[in-house]
Amino acid sequence: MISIHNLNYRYSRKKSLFNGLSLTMRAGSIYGLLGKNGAGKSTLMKTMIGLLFPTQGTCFVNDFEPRKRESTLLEQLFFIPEEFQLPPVSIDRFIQIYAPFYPSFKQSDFESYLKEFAMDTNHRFDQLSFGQKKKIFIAFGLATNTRLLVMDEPTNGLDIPSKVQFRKIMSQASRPDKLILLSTHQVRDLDDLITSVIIMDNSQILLHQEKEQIVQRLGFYPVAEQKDQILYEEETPNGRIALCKRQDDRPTYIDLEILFNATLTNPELISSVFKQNKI
Amino acid sequence: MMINPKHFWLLFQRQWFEQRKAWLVGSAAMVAILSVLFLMAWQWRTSFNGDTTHGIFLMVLFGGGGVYISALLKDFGNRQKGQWLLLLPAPAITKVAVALVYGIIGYLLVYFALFYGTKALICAILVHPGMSWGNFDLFKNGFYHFLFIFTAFQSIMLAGSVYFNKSQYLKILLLLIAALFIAFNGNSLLLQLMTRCSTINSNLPLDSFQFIYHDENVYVYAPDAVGNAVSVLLWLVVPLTFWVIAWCCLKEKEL
Repeated sequence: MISIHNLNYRYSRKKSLFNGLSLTMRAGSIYGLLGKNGAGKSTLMKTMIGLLFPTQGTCFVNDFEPRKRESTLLEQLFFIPEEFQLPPVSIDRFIQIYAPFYPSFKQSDFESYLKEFAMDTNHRFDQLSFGQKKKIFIAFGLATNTRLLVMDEPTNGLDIPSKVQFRKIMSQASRPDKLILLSTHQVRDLDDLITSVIIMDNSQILLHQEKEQIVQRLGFYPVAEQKDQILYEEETPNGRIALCKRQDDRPTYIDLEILFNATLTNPELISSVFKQNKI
Repeated sequence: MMINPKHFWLLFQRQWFEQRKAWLVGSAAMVAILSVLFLMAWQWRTSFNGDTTHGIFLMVLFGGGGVYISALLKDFGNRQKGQWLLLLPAPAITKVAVALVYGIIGYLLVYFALFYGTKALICAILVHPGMSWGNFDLFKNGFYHFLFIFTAFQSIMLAGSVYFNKSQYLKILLLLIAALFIAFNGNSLLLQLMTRCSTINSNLPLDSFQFIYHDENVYVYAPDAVGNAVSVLLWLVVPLTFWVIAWCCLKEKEL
């Protein structure tokens, strides 16, 4: 569904990003794009949706070039940025204005997502807090039923109950023909939700694996239980946890934060685990 | 590359619902400015009161029109709003077409109504029986040509508002003033070089110039054919060029 080949993006003469990055993403998955601030996540996402144009290389979404911003592609694409501004109109008016632009928009879906967020439509955007606006914008984005949904830091600005509601709604919104891409640096907010992990640093992809593969190859154990083959270890509120090659049939819970830190600390070592034949 | 009627109507509605309050306030401000100018014109009325009214008409038409059209796509001044507009599923050409319809046709219709409405009101209050405002006919002696110049001006303002992200109106005005300065002075230098006449004291690029010969002012006008060609250039080629520039800028905009 998304195919990027040999991508380069140049902000200025001196600052170049991605250095020939290639990436393929399939429909039916929820991708978590993880990286520190400034890792290049937002630039990569903006390139995928046509807000920025590659300096070199190609990017295709459903065989369309996003940089051309053709209506056929835009109708099947929705972007929820980290920060946004909505017009000072009522929610009903917003739906009246913008829903017709998206042929797959369903009013019933919108209402059901709003209900899940415990919101109603009797408000104007200029009377709502940022978190409330974000919930309505997320509900609208999901109700457009586009085949590509891109969300930049979707949980920023949401309170704790809303984050729980968000995870529930997102799991309902997943479809076999839909690709959802979420970027975050708050990995714990989304770790149950995502089905594939992409870890970036310095505008390079350090790890791109499905969670199934990660479960098969890696295990997360208390250090006290595991002395051998430790790839990385870290102090957590639950004690010292080690990231190891999985050595038995017992799958463990994937701690994305530890995986993220381990990948940033030693990307070659973590990648090498996935290149080896399974034991 | 075609304008999509469905998208056109949706974008037209969007612009109306989101900006109608600002337009209402703008219209009220315009009525206030016109009223003050009419009052001043009446207070210091001259035998050329009709010409003064023409001046008021043009001043507010161009001033208000420029501000208005450069605000139509002002979303690009804000990254979040700009991204939302760029990703709105409609072709760039349709987005530009909606801005042109509002910025030229819509503005002219509203401006005519406001201008004549305000003038009628002021006349009803100030001009008593036996007095006269003076001759004012917009369509006399080719004055309607202003419509073409206005279209070209608005097209330039629109292209600039897409090209620049911040302070669009001021930047385009500065560029226009600079362009006019260079055109007039450059034309004068060019004419002096071509004719080797050092007494050229005024000129209108692509139209005419004046020089002194035996203490007499002599006017030289371009032939009619050149005049017609310049009219086509200013009335047709310039607006079309800037529509294409606005469309290309919108297509290639990165945020």
